[in-house]
Amino acid sequence: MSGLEVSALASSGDLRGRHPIGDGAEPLSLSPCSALTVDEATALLSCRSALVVLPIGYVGTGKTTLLAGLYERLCLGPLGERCFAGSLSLLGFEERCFEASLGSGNSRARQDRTSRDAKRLFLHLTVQTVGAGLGSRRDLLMADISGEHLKELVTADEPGPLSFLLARTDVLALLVDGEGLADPLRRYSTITEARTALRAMIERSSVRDTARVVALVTKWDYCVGVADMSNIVSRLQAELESVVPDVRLMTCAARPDAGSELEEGTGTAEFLEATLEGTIRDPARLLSFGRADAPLALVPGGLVLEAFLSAGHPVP
Amino acid sequence: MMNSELRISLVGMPSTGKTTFLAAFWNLIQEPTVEACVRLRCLPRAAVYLHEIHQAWLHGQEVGHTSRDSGELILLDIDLGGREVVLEVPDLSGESFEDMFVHRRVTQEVDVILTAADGLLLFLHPHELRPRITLVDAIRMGIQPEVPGDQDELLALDLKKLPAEVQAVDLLQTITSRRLWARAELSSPRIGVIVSAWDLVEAEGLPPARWLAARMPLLNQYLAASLPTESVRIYGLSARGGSADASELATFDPATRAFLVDSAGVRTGDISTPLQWIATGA
Repeated sequence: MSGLEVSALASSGDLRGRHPIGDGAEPLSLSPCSALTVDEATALLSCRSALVVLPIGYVGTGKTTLLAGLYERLCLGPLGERCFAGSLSLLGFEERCFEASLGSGNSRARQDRTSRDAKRLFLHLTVQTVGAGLGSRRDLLMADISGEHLKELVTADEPGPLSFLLARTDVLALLVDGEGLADPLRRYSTITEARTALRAMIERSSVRDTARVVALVTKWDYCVGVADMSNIVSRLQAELESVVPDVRLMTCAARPDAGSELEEGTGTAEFLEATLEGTIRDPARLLSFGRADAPLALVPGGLVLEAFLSAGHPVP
Repeated sequence: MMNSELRISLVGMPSTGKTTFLAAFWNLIQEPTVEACVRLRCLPRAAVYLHEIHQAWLHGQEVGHTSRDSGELILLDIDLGGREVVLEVPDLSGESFEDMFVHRRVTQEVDVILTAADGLLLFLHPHELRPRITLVDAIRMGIQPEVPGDQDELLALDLKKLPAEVQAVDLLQTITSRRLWARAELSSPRIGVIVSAWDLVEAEGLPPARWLAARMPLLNQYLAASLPTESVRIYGLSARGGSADASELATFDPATRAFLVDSAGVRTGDISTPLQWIATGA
């Protein structure tokens, strides 16, 4: 049958059998499904509650690794009592996982710090309690920002994006470099820097009283077997409690060294649970102001529609 | 008797078995077996595409996609359990879905088809799972990572190589949100997950639902958490009828070649079962 005959059939309304699909019209663009911009995250918060989580630490403490490790672990199955229920930034997570994957061309797990779009800060994740209904769903907006901003806040009182992030954060997670704690030469400077960083964030920004503060010793595989580590951790805890009395201290090894006995994702379940204990006391407060009018609709208990996230418009 | 329409979209990346299913289904409705309750009521006037893929299927050959553009829209008058139905089964090309995932765009006609569908059949191929292997996993398994000449040179992320379950979750999320945008309704379509080439994994001894949970845990979690239990069923399908070579497959009785395994592991020759479930919920 010629294309002409098919067209004739189509125009006569008799499409029984076959009809090639492809109307030649401009395609529609879809959500990039990468990390969200501030405006996109704001739009999300304007229509549904989401915990804003800010993992913060100096360069190299493993912020991105923590987020990627959490996602990678969730890809293997429920994390504790929580299962994966969707993500508006699925490809944002994948980008962050890629550098530590076998296909990356890397010889060792490392996390690139420069190549991603700096405007796309937020990773979105929906989790649900295993076996429970939609009512158990929680949305998380996890910021992935450079450790340079913390350094600038501490040393020069230049908070950059931390100014609005800290003001809206529901869960502040201070990351402390476990490799530094394990090294006798860097141990006390690591503890001091962590305390100073926490103090700077509390004193130089508007972290809300209701924000939950947790401290996470990353790269815990470096600390396993180190003499007197329990006392070192106690010292760290005491130093941090001098700034925030009820700070909770945890450990994790999202991507332990291959020679370590620790599993990948160690501590990520505890981190997720601690995060979910945060409460959203002020859901109306947005990340940026003046963008709360974006039209959004919801899948039941689930995803924000693509209305804001670019869908429905012809590809430029 | 009411003549109703049933629109079912076959969803899946390239080479996941959509067209092979369609060829086997075309064979079934022309020569219904005893256990099948579906039959073709009248031959369509234009059946070149169906004839082509059916011929390839009968000869045991790979049922390649012969479409131009985005795929083939197929309309069939069938009798489904005593009900006269106009079945609309667009055989969208896998490239259409790849385009959605990789290039984040969808043609308007494909968008209309997906948003208007009464149900979806999501096709997955067990040889195309591409499970994630981290560097830590690899080193612990004794696999030496292949590093390009310059150790600082990272390869680019190729979205086509991401785990199949990540692609599947993204497709379902995208289709769900497009449907809501277009239809402004909150009901979920019935989604049949079809693990094709089931003969390749049958020896693992897991029924399809447990196989999916073990091999594609992210997708399994997403389906369980995001859709009502009654809206999802998982099937194993061998539409080709086995992994024998073409000359051997061609000698098999076409009426008994293809088979389907339901969520609980019960095997049947009626590969139209997922369509009946989408149509009736039973």
